[in-house]
Amino acid sequence: MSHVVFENVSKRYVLYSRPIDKLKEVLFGKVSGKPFYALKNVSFSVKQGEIVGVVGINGSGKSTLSHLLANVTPPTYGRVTLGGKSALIAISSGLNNQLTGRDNIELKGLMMGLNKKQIQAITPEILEFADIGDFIDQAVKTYSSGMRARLGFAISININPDILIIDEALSVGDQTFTEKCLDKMREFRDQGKTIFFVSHSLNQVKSFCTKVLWLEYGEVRMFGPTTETMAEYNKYLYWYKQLTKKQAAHYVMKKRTGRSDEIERSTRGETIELSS
Amino acid sequence: MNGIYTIGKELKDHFYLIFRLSLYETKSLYSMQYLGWFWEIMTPLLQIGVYWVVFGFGIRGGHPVDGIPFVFWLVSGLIAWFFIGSTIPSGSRSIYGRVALVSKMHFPLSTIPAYVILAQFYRHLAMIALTIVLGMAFGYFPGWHTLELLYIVPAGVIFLYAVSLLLSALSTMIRDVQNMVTSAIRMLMYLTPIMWIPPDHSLFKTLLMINPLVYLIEGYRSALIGTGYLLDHVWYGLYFWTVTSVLLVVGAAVHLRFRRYFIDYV
Repeated sequence: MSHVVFENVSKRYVLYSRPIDKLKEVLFGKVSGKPFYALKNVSFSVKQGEIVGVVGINGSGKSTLSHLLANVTPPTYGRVTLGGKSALIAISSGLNNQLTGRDNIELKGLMMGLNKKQIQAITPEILEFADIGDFIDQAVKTYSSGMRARLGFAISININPDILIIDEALSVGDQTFTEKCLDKMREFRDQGKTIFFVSHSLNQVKSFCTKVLWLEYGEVRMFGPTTETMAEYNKYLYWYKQLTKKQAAHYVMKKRTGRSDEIERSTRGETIELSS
Repeated sequence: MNGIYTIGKELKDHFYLIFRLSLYETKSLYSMQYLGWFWEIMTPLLQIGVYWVVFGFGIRGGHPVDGIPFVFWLVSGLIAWFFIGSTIPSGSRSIYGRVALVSKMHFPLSTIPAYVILAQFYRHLAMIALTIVLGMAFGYFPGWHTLELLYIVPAGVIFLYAVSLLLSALSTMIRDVQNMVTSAIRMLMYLTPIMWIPPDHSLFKTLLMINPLVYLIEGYRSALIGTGYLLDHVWYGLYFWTVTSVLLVVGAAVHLRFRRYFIDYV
């Protein structure tokens, strides 16, 4: 059963040269800035219980992809189908700095659509997983970046999402915490949940993911089993590194502007979230 | 009209959410300060003191207004203004300041202005209570007219929600709206007869009444002092509700039309 399906998904951002252009677009719906496609005709489908690594060099659209998966922002064209509730874990995990850790648990839970009982039920698990001791009753602004990441991760993982997106969030934790997270994610996988793992750590991707989605400047360059895709990606990285500055700039330019006119514009973008 | 129904249903279904979030809103507002709630009361008190001296003694020479002690007359209108004047700017900035935190498309964004208003509302209730106490000190005891509060306070809240719903959507997309709101509020404070009494000039009075805030301010006075304004101005009440309904319809339509894209504008 396919759990996450992308069909011809494109996400356009508009770069405005003057603020007035933005106003014009709001009022008249006419795009008068320079369009920039962060994702172009992305199509793939992922089965339940899969752990998908998302790789690509900077600017390839990984963050946009994770925002679309987390249902934070709608696609401009194409259709995203999510087979359940999704949760995004990023380094800046949307905690309120003025409030205590415990308040943040409730706040985040409410915003994720949990009710009072559900929040009370998961609080002990969050405390156990985050393991920040007495700091839980201190304002989050006093936390170290590791503590913040741990709390954010603990909250997102314990609201029991069907689809979990991890965007570079493991890079701040120490080895023990990373291990703990990876364990938890394996547990998730065994429960038939789908995980997207956005990372620059090739080793983590290799050891952990069942499939890899390689993005290059907004397009899917390759999507397949981990070993093959990572081998190709490694070759590519090696090739890219030996380019001179001028060659690299030329290559990026070509990739960026090319094929924008081939975007499938048939449907207005939509995200469908199926209730599980 | 459908828009109003959708928004109303969202607010009703997420009542607990609105309530809890409003408490956190007040909490994070004052967690930085040592004296927290003290400032909630102290700031308005200082303002009242200044206006009393300037307008009451300086300009009016300490004369009462239609037999009502100036300070009581001033305070019963001013507390309504404190609520309006702090809610409209924060309501207008409510969505773009928080949409990134919410970061979920199915989060009911229409609840954000609601909980921001509710967070201000607790202080407002305390001020109403204090004003009633002040009135008693001058010999104005609560009576039948006090029941008008049950009408004018909800009327004010609904009006403020309608304004905030519209402005929050607009200012998310066009940030300049926020600057406009700030200066408009500053002007409205003096254009609304809160600290001064409009002269007996019928055209001037009518022009003044285009501003629906006049209805709210005088409505508060009617309820707190017993001026009878609300019962004498039924047609003006109808005008107020017409303006509020139009704001609600337009606000709901704009909000629902654009909220999918709010996150892209932040």
